[in-house]
Amino acid sequence: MENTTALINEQITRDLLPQKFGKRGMIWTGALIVIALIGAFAYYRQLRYGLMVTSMRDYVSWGIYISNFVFFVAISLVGSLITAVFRLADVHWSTPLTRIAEIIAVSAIVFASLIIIVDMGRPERFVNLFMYGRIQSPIVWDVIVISTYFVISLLLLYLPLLPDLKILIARENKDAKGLQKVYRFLGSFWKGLAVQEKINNKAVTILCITIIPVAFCIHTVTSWLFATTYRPGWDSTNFGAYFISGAFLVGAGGVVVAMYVFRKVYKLEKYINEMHFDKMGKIVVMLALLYLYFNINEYLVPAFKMKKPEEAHLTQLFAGEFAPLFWFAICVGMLIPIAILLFKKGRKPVPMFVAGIMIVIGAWFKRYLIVTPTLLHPFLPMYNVPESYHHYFPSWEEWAIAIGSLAGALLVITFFARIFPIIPIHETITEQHETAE
Amino acid sequence: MKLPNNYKLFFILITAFYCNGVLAEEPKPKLLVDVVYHLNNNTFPFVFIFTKSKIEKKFIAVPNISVKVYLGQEADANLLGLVITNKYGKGMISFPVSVKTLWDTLSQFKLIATSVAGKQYESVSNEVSLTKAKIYIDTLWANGVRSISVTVKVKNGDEWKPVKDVETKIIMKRSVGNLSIGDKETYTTDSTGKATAEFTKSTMPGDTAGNIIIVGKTEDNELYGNISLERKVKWGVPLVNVNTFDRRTLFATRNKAPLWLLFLAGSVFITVWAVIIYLVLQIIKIRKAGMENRPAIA
Repeated sequence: MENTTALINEQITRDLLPQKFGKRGMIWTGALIVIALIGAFAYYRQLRYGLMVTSMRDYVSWGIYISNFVFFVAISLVGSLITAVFRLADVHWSTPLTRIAEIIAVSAIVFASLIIIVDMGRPERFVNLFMYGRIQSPIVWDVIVISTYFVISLLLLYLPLLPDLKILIARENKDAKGLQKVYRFLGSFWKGLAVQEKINNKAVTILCITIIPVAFCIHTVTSWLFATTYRPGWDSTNFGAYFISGAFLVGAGGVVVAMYVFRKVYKLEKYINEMHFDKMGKIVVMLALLYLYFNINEYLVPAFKMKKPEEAHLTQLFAGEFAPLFWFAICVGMLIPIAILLFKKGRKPVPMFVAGIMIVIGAWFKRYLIVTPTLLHPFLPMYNVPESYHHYFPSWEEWAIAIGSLAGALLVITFFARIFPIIPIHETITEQHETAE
Repeated sequence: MKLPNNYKLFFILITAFYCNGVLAEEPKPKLLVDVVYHLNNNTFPFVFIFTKSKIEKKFIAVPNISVKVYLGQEADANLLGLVITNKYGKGMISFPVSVKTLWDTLSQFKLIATSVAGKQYESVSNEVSLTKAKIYIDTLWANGVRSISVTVKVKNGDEWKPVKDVETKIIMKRSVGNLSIGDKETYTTDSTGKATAEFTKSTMPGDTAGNIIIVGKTEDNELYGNISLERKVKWGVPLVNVNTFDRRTLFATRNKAPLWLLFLAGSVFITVWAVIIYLVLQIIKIRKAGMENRPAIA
């Protein structure tokens, strides 16, 4: 019996250990590095020539950088959903997905912070926020809450990793001496003692309780950056809940895409099976319906009243310059995924992956539609400005930086999966035993 | 064929009418000049000149028109001055000192405005004949009720005599317009030349000392023009300036943040970071427990 258990443990460990990049992995990583480097070059140009290299002008002063920021903040919520909410609710099927969710959250929040600095134009002035920032300003709240959320997400990634570090250290590999140094630095003190397990479990539970309100704060405060400004499209009391529901959806969509990719690439079919896709599919449908509900609230109510300042903004969204993008975001980001995932066949891995991709792309454009069209419809009409000020299309530098930041976030996830087990080994083994008993 | 005489006459008339329409020059639009007399605080007479033209049944202001204004008759000695109307077709001229002697002797007077002919408009003239009048304000307090009495007097020889049936307005000046003192829009003087309005708006804010400015005036009166008199009275509610500049508000500077916000944000921040610090201490505790159980190196 003991032998069988050891064999099972060994099998799980071998299956879940981080793997070296294969040919596809190298191409993927290389491509991401190239994209990130192009982004870095574009940023160098922005630093050298100023924000003139962007298409942002007097009216559209928040372009795709801020859209990207909101997107990153949104997708980072997934860490609290999958890890904290499910853990506190004692949902065990989500165990293989927790680390995927946590690393998505950490990488997204890192790049959310970076993209804000990029948007500032003069990064050295970031320090002014701390020196001269006013606590009355939602921007200062955002800085505080993002840094707090980053630390908590990092802890939530690190603490459950400790037992796995022991496994990684135990399987010393001559080819991975550098990695061993990392493992030892991070977790050589973990001996799997009962006292350590007890402290760790307690700490993770406290973290899970703490991260939920902090995650709600980060999304609410981000929405308040807009909602505390009196502008058509942003002047809403609904924005906090609207942002949180959208963040849950894009985060869940991101996890669906990641779990499909990791399952396929690392051959984890045994650990991330159709049951996981089915259950995640049901969650995604629920979240998409919730977000659709908030969208109807957000657009139908002002459209019903059609107050003069809102009219130009809403008309542009529904039937004007932004209509193709708006309906694309609504259909691709919500309606089609709902239609796919409502059916059992739609909750199989491949359709789920397609739906996940659609949700993530739709969500990115949805953020763009939240940020930019409003800026093009100020209360005081644009007067005596160049024609280009009436429209906004990002410059190549903006595209390169935005796409580079997305590539950077994916690189962080890729390298993490190369260094650490993307599915918690220790927890999987423990649960395997609990199931067997 | 011989046409009857009636037909010949008809054709001649039609042809003449047609030729007149085609060959005659298009007449120049007619310029209209208005003269409006004002007397403020019984001391400062001045005249507004308005130049306009009727184009397609609408009066359109005509700018840049030079208009000579005379007192009494069109003579150089009586010239008040030359007015050039602005883009709204409006110009103003006050009475120069040179006409003071003449002005003081007059009981009735005539103001003549003559425009200088230009390329577009011919010279036109307009005049207005008025009787010299003054207005007086008296404040009353009876049975706890405040009222304002306005008296209109006209010059008769060397005397100023009250005049009845003059429509007056009794108002108070506000920041963006005037407000009637009483319930009525206008008041008519009685046989003693007086019109009285009850001050009903006792809660009206004044300046910091509670002063409000009340005005008695005639407006576009055909006999006396526009005469007005202002008086400052302490009938308003003193204005207390509430300056929020240096208070703790959401829009104040960083060192003036509201206390409730500081408390709320501070307590949330401290609570969350206390938890984080506690968790870091737990990691240290885990580390310590692990180090204590480290196998001894041989």
